[in-house]
Amino acid sequence: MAAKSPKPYVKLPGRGRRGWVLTTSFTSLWMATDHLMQVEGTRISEDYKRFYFKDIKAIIMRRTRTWITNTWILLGLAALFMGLFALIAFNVQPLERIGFLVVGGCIAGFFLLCAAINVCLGPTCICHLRTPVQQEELPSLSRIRTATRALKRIRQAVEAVQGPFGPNERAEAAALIAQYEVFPNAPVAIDPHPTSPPPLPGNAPFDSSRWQIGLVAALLATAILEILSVIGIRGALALTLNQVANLAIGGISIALLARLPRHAEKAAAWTRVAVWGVWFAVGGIYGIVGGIRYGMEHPGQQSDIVKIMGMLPKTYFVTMSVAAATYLLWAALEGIALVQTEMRKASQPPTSAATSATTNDPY
Amino acid sequence: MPCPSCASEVRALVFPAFLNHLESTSAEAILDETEASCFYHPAKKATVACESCGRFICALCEVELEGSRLCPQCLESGKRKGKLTSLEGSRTLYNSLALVLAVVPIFTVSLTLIAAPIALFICLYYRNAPRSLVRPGRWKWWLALILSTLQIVGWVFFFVHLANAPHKPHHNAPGQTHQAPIHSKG
Repeated sequence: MAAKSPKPYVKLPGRGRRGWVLTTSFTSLWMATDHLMQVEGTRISEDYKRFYFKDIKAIIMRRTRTWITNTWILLGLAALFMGLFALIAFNVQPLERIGFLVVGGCIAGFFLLCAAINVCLGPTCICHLRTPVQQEELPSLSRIRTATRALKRIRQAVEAVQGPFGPNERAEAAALIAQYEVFPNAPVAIDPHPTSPPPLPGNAPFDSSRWQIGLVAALLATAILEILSVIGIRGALALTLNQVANLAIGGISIALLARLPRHAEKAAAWTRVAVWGVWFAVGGIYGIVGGIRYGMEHPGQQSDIVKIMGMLPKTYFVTMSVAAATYLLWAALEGIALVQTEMRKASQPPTSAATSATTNDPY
Repeated sequence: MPCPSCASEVRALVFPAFLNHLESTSAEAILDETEASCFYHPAKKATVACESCGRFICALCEVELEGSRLCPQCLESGKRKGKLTSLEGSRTLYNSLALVLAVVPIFTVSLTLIAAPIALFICLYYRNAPRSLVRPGRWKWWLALILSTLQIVGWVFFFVHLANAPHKPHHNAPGQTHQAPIHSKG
């Protein structure tokens, strides 16, 4: 019997994600005999990127604060839901109160569990792999613990191909790194954004921060209106404002989608448009059906949005509103993070591509 | 060491290639008419023959891949025909697509009427299509085939049952009432 042939690729620890809910793609790192392969896959396709061991110059791991931020967000959401459901519970009948508290506890428990898992997985990091002609992010190595395990195996494989450093080479490499550390403002060899070309004159990059601020404001306004509707404030003015804010969310998201250049932001805008579209379609269908039903039940009477909304069963209405408020708050937090990133980028001096293009690049 | 800009902790794993410089390749010009010239650059000296088509190629055109020396045209055709797997940048996973089409519409029931035949078609038409480079197993293909076949069989049974079901009158004629036959006792 013939021996089973060994697998051409062995998976390295770690799994990364790019994009958001509807545009998610998963990345993983696989090792062959002579190269490392990054696989980025959706459900129905896979993209491959190969890095040959002989070409790998360095792997740089930077610790991030994402895990702390995520933990606080999850704890905040848990507290928010518990508080929101407790608020509702004390305004309803005693029998319904237990139900609301149980549902609120379950949702808060889910977020607490997510926070606990996030803490257990440990600190986060971003890893970049550098070759003579590129610098690629390795999204699958997003936790320090996982990255350390994977890098140990990669190091063995690369050193088997490239061999160890010679006595003088180690000192030379250390000197190059030290030069970067001691003179941070000097023209440096390591360009943090080697693939982004300098902006062409008259073709300035799109500054999305104002749009993002507008979007965050609309999202927060809609979230507040949804929360108000849960606690019983749902007059014609509130509902009209809700519709206006919804239209603003859709409009700004579509505008951002058309102009945003970056992958992650674009994915976020796509997700927002998709969710907004579904939400609006559901609302529209309900409006039409509710209008017809109201006309049949109350012949001769003029229907309006308040009367149609009043026909909804309370539980259904509360569930829908809570779901909407959650999504809107989540999207608003994401928007705030994007605005912060944009502002931080705007406050930094331009040191990347334009500077490095004029330096004596030793690579 | 900390990043000089944001003070984040940074660790760099550096390899000997860190000190290597990019080397540019140049091809020698022909000095004598008796020298063999490159098929693509007649003014350059041929250094090797393509191991796929046999054309003479210069140092500029020579590409070493998977232990073979190839010319640019063979490289391009090998990539196009999928013979050189190490050049493949992406793959469509037809078995996963078929599985998605066989599983997701189950939650809506009615959509399986359209999706199951499509899933079955993809299963059969792309049965020999290349699978994932890293997870080449066939279980998704088999599962999609079984699920889509079962759904189609289910729909066939449903329609056959519908066609053979006894016709029940929906409306009674005016003045008549539909009553079940009453059996008299004794």
